[in-house]
Amino acid sequence: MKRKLALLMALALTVSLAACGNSGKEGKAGKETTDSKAGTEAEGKAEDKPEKLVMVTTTDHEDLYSYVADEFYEKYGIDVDIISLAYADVHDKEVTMALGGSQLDILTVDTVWPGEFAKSGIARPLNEYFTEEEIAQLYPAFVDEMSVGDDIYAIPTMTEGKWLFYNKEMLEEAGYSAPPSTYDEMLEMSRNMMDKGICKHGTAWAASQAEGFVCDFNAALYAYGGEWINENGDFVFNSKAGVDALNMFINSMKDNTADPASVSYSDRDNLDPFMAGDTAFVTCWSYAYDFTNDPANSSVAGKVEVAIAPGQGEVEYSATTGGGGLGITSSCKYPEWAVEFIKIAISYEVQKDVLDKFGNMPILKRVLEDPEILKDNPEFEIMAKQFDYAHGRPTIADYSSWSKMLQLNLSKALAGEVTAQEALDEAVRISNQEYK
Amino acid sequence: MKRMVDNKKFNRQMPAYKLICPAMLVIFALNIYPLLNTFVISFQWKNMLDASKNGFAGLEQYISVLTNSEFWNSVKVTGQFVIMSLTIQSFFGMLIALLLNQNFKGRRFVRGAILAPWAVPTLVNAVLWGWMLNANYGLINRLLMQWGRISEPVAWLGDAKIAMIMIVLADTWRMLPLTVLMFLSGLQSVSAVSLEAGKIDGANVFQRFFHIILPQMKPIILVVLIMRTTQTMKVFDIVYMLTNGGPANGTMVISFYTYYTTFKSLNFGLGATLSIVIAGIIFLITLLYLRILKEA
Repeated sequence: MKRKLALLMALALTVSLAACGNSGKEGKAGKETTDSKAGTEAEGKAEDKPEKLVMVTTTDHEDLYSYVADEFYEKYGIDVDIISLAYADVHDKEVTMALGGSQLDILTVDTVWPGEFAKSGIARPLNEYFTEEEIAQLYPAFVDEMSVGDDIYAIPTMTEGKWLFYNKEMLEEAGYSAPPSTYDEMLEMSRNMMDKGICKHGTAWAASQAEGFVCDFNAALYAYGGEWINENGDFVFNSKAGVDALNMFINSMKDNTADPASVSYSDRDNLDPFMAGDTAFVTCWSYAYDFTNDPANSSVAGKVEVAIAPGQGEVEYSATTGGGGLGITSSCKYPEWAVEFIKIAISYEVQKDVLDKFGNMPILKRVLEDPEILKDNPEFEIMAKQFDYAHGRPTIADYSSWSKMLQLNLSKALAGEVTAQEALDEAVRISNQEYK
Repeated sequence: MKRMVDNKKFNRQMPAYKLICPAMLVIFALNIYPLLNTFVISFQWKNMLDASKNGFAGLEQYISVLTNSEFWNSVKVTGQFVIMSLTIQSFFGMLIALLLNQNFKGRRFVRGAILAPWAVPTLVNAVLWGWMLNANYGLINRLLMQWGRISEPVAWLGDAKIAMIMIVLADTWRMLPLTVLMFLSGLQSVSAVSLEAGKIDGANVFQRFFHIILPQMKPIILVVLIMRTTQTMKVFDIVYMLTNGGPANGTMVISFYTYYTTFKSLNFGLGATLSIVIAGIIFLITLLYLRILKEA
């Protein structure tokens, strides 16, 4: 009896120890895998067909890609297992799956990952799977972002960027009929509104030590006439333009025009003062338009409009690109089928639904030029115009490490530990030494 | 004869070995094998972004780590976190344990209630403190402004030094109950006779504490220190959620630095080296504590 009891306890111990391992829930807000099964078995070659394909994506885009997976199943009868995670966890998940030998066929590729995925061999070039006509339908700036040299490592499936969102009511109250087109204008309008008691601060930056601020600095750098890398391949962002751009952020927080607490805000946190009606402007990704106009989240719902990110001086506008695309792993055994999945994702019918059903900005030019769509969504005409002024972050193989170094130096300048010039000089020195 | 006795003993123990075998296999698979594998990888170049160099590295990665200023910064930051956490948690843990050791009405309830923070998962704790420390909408700024202690909101996580203190506070809130519990259990083993004798001899509260209670509690204090030192040296979640190692790397603790090197920079060899170095540091500290414990 005692032996049986002991055996039972040992089994229970073993099971509980095994259960202490990975429970399958990943990330801060991760989910279990979801299967897509819909429709009937499609015609197609029975041989060479995979049982399923596996992809990783963010929780923000899970609905979109589930929709694409349903279409894919209906057409080809192949399941797609979608592993969705919080954005912050997607990169690590993909890297560990691809390098660890787990089945992973379709990758979500953020704009700053192609270099890394290419160099590490995680992703394969896709040029041979797409015709020039198919690529030409997509916005070129976003195709370039997904490329390393002439090789395309991911097909962009949506456009993205950081726009300037503003509280129309506050501007009208202060006597402004149009949003600012330069940083100087924006700060002046902010100070005027603050003096009149219309808002607490003009804006709140996403200035914590994170990628969000690199995006904002990227836009400002080009707005002030600077660039990351010159034609010789040298990093040159410590120019006067770079220093002026960085000082704009620093000085705006010092004189309270921007919320001084911005140094602790991520690019999601800076929406909070805007939605609470404390700030008049905010720069954010496209989702912010619907998010800040949703009464469930925002006390300024219905008052938020969108404008192109400001320029400065002779530079008309300047914005950061974002978004991402889908790539195919080097280890994928059925790349032709994975390509078909991507082709469905960038098809006209799906791209129209990307907008209608999921609120993402489509990558197909003709969707955003469609008068029917623009009639229902007039803000997209403004938003699409920004793509002509958009700039990507530098394509570096070890982008994560480079960005971490840059974030540290920018953070030191924002914290007042060093001057803007010192911070950028140090960042450029290390960039040219280790990342050229 | 001895062999017969040994065989009999072995046969009696055999069921026990069989029963613990499955658990040992799991422990080996989840702990010992990964540790050994990590040790082996630490001697190899394994950078996914520079595969041309992959191969045997010898001690080069160890030299690289030990001469890297970022590594020593993270050791310094971790050291600050450990010392601050241990000091605050030991002091207040002992104080609260002494209070809970007194007889008062509702003591049982209070002893149970004090464990509540410990039940909160680390990530939930981090999110909770993230909101409390929010510069514009956080509870702490609101209360301090209402009491007139500050006139403007403070960006608690916007300054490196203050951010570290806040992380220590958040960790202390959650882990203090554990320290209290352990000290409380230690206090039960303090001889009541010695305390009584001390009272009779005219020793005051402080004298009884320093000369009677503290010496008898030395073993449990050392156990708490060993346990909390190893736990605080491995702190990760709360930094990941609150500050991401910033601002200006002011909260870049060693485990977060290792995670970043391994998974963001895809340098698995260097990440493995860092892990072994950290394990080595923790091991040395543990040995030191054990030596002190042995002498005690």
